[in-house]
Amino acid sequence: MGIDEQKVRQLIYLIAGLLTGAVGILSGMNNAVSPGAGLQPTITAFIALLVGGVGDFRGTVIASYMLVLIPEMIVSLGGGEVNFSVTWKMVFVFLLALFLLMIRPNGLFSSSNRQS
Amino acid sequence: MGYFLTTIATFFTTLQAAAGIHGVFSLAGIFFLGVPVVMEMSIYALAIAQKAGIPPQYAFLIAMLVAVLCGILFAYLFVKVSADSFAVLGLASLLASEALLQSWDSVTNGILGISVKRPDFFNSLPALAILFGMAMAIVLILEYVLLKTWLGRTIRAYKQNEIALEAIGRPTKKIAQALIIFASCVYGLTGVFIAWRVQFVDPQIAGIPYLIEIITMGILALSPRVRSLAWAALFVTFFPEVLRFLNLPTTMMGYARVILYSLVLLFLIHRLSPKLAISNRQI
Repeated sequence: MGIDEQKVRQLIYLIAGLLTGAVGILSGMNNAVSPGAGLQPTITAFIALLVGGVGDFRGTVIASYMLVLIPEMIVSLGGGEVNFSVTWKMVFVFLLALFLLMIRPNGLFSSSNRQS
Repeated sequence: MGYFLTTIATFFTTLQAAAGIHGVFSLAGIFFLGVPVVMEMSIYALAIAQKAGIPPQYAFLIAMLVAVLCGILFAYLFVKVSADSFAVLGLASLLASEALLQSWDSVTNGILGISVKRPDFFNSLPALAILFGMAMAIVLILEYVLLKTWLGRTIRAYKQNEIALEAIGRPTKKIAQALIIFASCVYGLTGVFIAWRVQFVDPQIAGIPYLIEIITMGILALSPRVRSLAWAALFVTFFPEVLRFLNLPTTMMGYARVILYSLVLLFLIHRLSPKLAISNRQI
């Protein structure tokens, strides 16, 4: 078709870099900056992508909300005997992702067949 | 003598770890990035059991049981989710386990960590080095036998064409699961040995830097030979020793090691990995 594959790939990397940079700037305005600060959001983003379904924009958006809000609610709403500190959040993100990927391996809005 | 024995003991445990990652990552091409989690869990099982008053030898058995259970969990996960999800979940489990170990301080002592006691008969560094050497030899013999049998050939074929392998009646999923469990056992054992050597555990004992070290070894040992494992372990153990001659501040040494490994990993991925890939080399 005459489309330069390498240029398309470079463009994708450029867009991804710009978007990630923007996320980093916004995140830096709200959180303390530290050398390893980028790792956790990056892995959470990958999880959201896989939970939502690669190529499914709607699923990814909903999965992102779920993976941020549900652990946040568990941490914020806890009280009395069951009380979790903020550091537990990643544990809940992981458990939630595990659960969702077990029941919907190909994404929230797809069939449950495993794709290798 | 102390430095020499510590370096030798480190080399033995590194070689053992290399054997663990060799089958699952280098030969079968499974991105089992949760291996440091298995290691962390077995180390903490050992430390917590000892803290509860259980003798070191029984604590060792508990640690190995935890490693096997972690292996079974990851093996189960492997057949339930896609290969991409398995890789990302492995990485996420690393952050989750670190968060768990830091947060659950009533059990794990949080960031302060727990001290670990060695069994009485391995209380000295020479005895420990001999034990590590013996364990490493057993793991390497197992690896050698594995590589020479049909199972080794099947593992190598798994990376190249899983569907063709399934078509000739080989239980590919079971083989992959067995590899994950074997790697977990090896890493559980390596974790216990590291804990016995340093006699202390904290939540960062096997984090991202350790994963970089493991992946570096995995790529260096892409060849299906035990010899390549030994070279990979030698390189990973002794290459950062050049930093000792640079007179860096002690606080920078750990970070400098990670930077060095990361640079090596980048170089390997960029230059060596395509040449060593199964499709491009003579087996």
